[in-house]
Amino acid sequence: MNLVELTINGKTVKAAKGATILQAALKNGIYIPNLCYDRRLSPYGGCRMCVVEVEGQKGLSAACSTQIREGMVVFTETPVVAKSRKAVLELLLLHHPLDCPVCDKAGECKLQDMAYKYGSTSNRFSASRKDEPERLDSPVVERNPNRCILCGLCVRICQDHQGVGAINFIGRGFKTKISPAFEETLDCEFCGQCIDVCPVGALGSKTYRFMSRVWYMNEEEMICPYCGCGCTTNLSVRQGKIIRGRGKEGVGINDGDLCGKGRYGFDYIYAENRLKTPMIRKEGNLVRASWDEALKYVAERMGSIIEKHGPASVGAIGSQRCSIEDNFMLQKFMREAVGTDNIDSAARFGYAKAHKAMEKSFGSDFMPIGWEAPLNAKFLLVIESDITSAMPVWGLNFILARNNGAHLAVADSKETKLVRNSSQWIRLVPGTGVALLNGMMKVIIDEGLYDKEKAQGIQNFSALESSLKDYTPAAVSAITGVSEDEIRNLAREYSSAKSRLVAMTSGASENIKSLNTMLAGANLVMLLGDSPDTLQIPAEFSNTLGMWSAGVRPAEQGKEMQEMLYAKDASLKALYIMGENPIVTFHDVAAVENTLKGMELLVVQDIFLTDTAKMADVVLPACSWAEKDGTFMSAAGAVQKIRKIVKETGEAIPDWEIFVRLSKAMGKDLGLNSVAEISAQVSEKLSTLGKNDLKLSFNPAAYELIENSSSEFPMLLVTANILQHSGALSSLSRNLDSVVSDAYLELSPADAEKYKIINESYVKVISKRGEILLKAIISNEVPEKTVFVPIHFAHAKVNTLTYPAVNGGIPLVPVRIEPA
Amino acid sequence: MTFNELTKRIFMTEILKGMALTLKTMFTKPVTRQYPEEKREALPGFRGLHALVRKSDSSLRCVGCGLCAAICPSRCISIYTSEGVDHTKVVDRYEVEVLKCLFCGFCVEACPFGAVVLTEHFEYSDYSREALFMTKEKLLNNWDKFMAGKKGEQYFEKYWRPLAEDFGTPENQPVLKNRRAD
Ligand code: SF4
Ligand code: SF4
Ligand code: SF4
Ligand code: SF4
Ligand code: SF4
Ligand code: FES
Repeated sequence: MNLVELTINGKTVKAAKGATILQAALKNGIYIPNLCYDRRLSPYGGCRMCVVEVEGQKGLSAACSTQIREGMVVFTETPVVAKSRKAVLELLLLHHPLDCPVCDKAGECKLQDMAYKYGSTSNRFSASRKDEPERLDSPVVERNPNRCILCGLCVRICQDHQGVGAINFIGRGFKTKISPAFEETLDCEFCGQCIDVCPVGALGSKTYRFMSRVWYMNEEEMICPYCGCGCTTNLSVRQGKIIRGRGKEGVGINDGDLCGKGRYGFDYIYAENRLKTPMIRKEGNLVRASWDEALKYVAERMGSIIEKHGPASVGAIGSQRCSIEDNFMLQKFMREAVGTDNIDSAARFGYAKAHKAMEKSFGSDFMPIGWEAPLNAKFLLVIESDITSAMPVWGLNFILARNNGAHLAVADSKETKLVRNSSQWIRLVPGTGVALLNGMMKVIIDEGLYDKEKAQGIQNFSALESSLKDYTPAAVSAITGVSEDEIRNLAREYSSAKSRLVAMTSGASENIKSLNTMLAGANLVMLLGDSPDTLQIPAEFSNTLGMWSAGVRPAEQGKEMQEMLYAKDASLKALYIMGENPIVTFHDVAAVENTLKGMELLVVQDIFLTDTAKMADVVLPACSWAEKDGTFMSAAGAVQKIRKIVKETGEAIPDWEIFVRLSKAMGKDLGLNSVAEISAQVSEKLSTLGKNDLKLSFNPAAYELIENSSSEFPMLLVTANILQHSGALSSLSRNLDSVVSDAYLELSPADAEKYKIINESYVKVISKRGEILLKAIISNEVPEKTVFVPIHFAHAKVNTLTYPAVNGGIPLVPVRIEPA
Repeated sequence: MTFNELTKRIFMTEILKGMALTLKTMFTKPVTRQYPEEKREALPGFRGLHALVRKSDSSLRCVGCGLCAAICPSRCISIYTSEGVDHTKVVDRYEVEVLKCLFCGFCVEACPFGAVVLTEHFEYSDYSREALFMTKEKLLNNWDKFMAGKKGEQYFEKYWRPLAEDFGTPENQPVLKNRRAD
């Protein structure tokens, strides 16, 4: 990097060439007041608070939009500068309501701070104050146009960084204000980034409105409990209650960026159905019990089942939301105290596919994503994944890459946020991503565009070659609906790009991809001689990767989830579920329910009284993520600490501690009694990860649907995540529910007409497994013959219709819809 | 021993002087006050028990800005606010732990509205701590009891005038004056 040397306030500093004076100063610990600058945005030069004196230059320069030069001499705090800032403030405060006493920003308001430092106590001018109504009509975001200083930060962060563009300046002169088009109610993705960036109290969190003052609160850095990005969110705690979340510059891998879940989703821990005491089923009802009673009961029943049916009749389900320590103790308890290897988790339907693909293709046991990987590629190919909704903050790097000039091609059936921010949208039939990849490889091989030396040296090359013979552009075009030319061009452009990246998500709820899609992605990577880390498949939730690495998966003969819950022969007699709600989140609810009912002993350890917990013989209350110490491993492989920042609820204790006590109750001490002791063992285990040598191998991956549409079920049901939610957990957050609180069904206008469905009316969705009722939303985002349904909401019971995929086929669900 | 000292000794001047004072005080009125039968008026500006000012429409003057709580050196003020039905800010609880207070009067000075004051009342000893934990209602009562009417007004004029009142935009400014923005 080229460094430039300059002098600021007599101090010699160095900064990268091309930086502005403001950036150089901030980087070297010299503060220059600014109101319209943000590290993530290009210079704007609108507020003139950042003026400085530059030697040899007439007048004052705006530090945020003046580039540094070698030998430049800058003074940031001279009388002239102060006078100018004072004048700027005078003008800003001219229309300002100055209602600091009732403004939630007070105490951390930049305008307030600057007025305190530079402003005068009177104003030489007088003019009328703005008198616009406050806008409180949208969820979570409130707007008070009177306090706005028109710095434009919110408009720019929303458009340029977040890729949404929901708000803009409207009106002229004195009447200018920030608003969605036509002063409508704000209806955006509600990430809240604009709130964090607003220097004043013009944008605020509705959920925090008048709740506190900043000086009453302690701010705690915590890892977000939702997706695999592992963002750090700053949670404000007052009187032992979390009341606000926000991002902070320089904090965490996310550097202050957050999505709505990280900012607002913390309040799920205050849901009404939090468990407060252990409960035991007596005469058909769950009744309160003491810890000793409950643990003794579990120990005895478990013991007698082991005695009667052997340890292999006990199974356990771990949780992607619990800490590494919790999961480590679960598997240790199962393996050492019970003696079973039947340990699995919901990741079986999600990340396990990615893991399997990486293992088969690259021989790798541990492949976290690279946080910056999207920024290092010139051509990014995303296969049927809305990364911006599954991994919102990592997804921003894809948008940033596009803004920096990379080519972002997104193959998706639905018009997602990522599609709207892409350079190229390859609109294909849902679930056909694997065919598209195969088609591309066919073209690449036929036209000799691949890395012959490397690829031919990889195991199974000829098998791959012959498996592709049916994927001619014509055939692939017929499957995917993408034109032959587009397939050819995509293959040519992709293979000729300087640096490449294939990315897709691995959500358990996503049924448009499967193992084969990921294998095909890996094949493409190897065919072009790229390194394995150009295939990026993130782990889904906050601790998916940590749980997986802690050993919550069968090591040898143990049963996987499919055998535990969906097998016809009921060989499992006892099931121990930690922090998972199979009745809602697992596919094919009827089958799961059946299996659970057949258990002799069902123990559920959770923070809520979930639908599954309601079926249990024993329910054990655990601490939520903010009520215990531990660690999470993000999708990027970073092990990050979570801490106890609020008191536990009722008699709840941390999950790991439950296993400590339970193993003692069973007379088998595991020998670990604190987080520190567990962590020490865990880190030993984790330190061996990703150390094995890679061994590449092609794995032919065919495109096949497990169930095909028919005349009885002519449509395909696509299930997935939406941006505002994450699994079923977030639906217990009131804040997030104020944005989206119910499942819906999106369908194309053409289908709506065909099946006589009116917007926002109820429709029956019927598959061969059952039927559910959903509200219909007619949208141009989805293609014909397809319906899209988010899976987060328990009462919608979407998983009545779905089924788990066993092999590499695509588990799309053929359905029929009828007006209800 | 000098001659002077010698004469003093012989004539017992010192003792006589003392006796004269004793005799004199025997005929003056005693200074002891028979408190609590006999009460003394507080001097103006006295800093006694807290009160929250009630506006003429009988509502609370405090808006819950929390500046008093922020400045209080003994951290004895807690304020809890929330959003009211009409979306305005409502002060749900305003509590002073009087036993912690050191009567510095900073809270009064910090308040931009003159909403919290220290009354002249000082006789509030009690047998329980709870009685001296002042809630919003008790504090409003204090105002009614000790400061409502003329007395409060006088105190505002002399002692409690919020500093914020000195920061108005001056009248008669040349630029932009009377220019309506629309
Ligand atoms: S935005 Fe800042 S200056 Fe304006 S009222 Fe709020 S706290 Fe005061
Ligand atoms: S709302 Fe806030 S961020 Fe947006 S222009 Fe106004 S002051 Fe700037
Ligand atoms: S949900 Fe994911 S992207 Fe959003 S704040 Fe949490 S960790 Fe970050
Ligand atoms: S008088 Fe001083 S110590 Fe007492 S409440 Fe007011 S600020 Fe606090
Ligand atoms: S400073 Fe005044 S208005 Fe603000 S909370 Fe205290 S008493 Fe109320
Ligand atoms: S920060 Fe430089 S003009 Fe606003």
